[in-house]
Amino acid sequence: MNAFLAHLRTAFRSNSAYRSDTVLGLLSTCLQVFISCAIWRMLYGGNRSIAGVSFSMVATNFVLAQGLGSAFVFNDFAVQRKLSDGSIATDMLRPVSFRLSLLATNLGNIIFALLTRFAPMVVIACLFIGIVPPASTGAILPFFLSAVLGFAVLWSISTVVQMTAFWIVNVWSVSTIKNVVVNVLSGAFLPLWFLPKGLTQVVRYTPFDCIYFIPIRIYLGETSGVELFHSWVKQLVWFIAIHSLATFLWHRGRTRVFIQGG
Amino acid sequence: MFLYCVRHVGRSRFQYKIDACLRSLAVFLREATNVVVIGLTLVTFPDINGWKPSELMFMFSLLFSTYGILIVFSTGLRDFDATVRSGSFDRYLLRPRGLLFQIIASDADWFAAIGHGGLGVCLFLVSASAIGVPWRPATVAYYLAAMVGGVLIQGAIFLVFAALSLRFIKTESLREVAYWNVRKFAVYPISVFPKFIQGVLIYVVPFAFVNYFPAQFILRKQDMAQYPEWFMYITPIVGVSLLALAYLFWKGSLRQYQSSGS
Repeated sequence: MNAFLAHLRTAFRSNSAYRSDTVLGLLSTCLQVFISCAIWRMLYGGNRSIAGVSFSMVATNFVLAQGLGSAFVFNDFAVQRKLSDGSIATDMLRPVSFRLSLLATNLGNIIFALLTRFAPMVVIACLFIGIVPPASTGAILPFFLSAVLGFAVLWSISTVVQMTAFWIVNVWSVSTIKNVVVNVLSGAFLPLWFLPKGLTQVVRYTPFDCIYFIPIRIYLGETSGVELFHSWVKQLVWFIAIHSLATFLWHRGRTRVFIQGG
Repeated sequence: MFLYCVRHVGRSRFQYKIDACLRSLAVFLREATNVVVIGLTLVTFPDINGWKPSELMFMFSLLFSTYGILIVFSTGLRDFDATVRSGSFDRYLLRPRGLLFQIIASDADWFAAIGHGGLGVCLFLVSASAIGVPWRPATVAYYLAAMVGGVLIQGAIFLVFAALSLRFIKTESLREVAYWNVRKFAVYPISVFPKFIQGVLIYVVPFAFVNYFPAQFILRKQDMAQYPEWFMYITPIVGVSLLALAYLFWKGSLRQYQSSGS
């Protein structure tokens, strides 16, 4: 446990060393959200609501999805780099679980980003863009739980991509495709309310709406009661499924490293 | 000398033929998804200030085709901040060839060129035939001149970022903010945006001259009435002048870098 926290703290601290990077990161996040909102305000024209979706809901979708997205950054190349420079051999000999140390490093970066990018951006958005407050005080805690589950799903997807490094020399193509699919199907740039009906059905059977869309719906109060419970279960099930795949790939990948006589 | 470098870069980039194909395809697909997202958005919002989807595609294609040509020459500029950080740039200073020559000849991201350029060509062919543009010799000549102008304008932007890399360590986030984020507005005709945003797109990061005004030259849409008519014709001139200004800024920054004793 101590080693886990140590990794986390190191990652967190190394972020705070670059001041200008931190400021630019916040600026970039704010600009991204601002641009999406500006474009959609233009698209809405004078209308308050289109197809039952108000502009404030769209703005809230961008603030939450792109804000969390700017914080939930994973290094898809972590395993690939350790394989190519050989440090994976020493890492696997350490008493700390290799995968847990990767997670700890990720969490350190993410907590830093949540504090320096997400939180300030939300405050700025509240002041300048009309976002919707939580549907009720009863929606806040369920939203947080759902956001954590959404993070878990995204983390497990990234882990699967990282594990492919054992078989593919360069994970860049897989990582790029993953990012593209997540960006489109998670609703971060095109709110899922506006997908054509057929595509919406397809997305419902994928893990991608678990990442941001389900938490956002809870926040907006669109989901409550039994449906709320179903949403959490769906997120949890996808997390377990993808995480199991990642674990499976990890074990198969490890044997490959040993066979090559590392 | 330049041709030697070109052949060398080409050989190293295409050494792994299948990998080269996959990478180009990955870039193409990644950018195509942006087009798909916008296409899906246009399903709900089919009329943007009098511009039909095919006309928007026609304007959009210029962004991709000019970037495809641009990146062949400015990959070195794009990655310049890494070159400075690693110290390789100081080696360039010692060589008997011009600095910009070395930077431009040092690398060419053919995968990005094929991906972006290919997408630009596809979009152009589909939209131009859907609109039924009457291609007269003068129209063709201007379209080509405007493409060159667009390449020069963006080249000037990249050169300015490269010059800034001499003073600031990491300009990648700045480029993300000031180029890629602003470019998102250029997908839509600038007339739909508030005056402030129009100002940025015309006078600060002149994407309007890369695709909006050249498209207006050919399409002559109603919303052109709010701008001086000669804006439609001057893209090549804007390109040359901006590149000249950027070059002066580059020279100035270089003098400062060298005199500070590196």
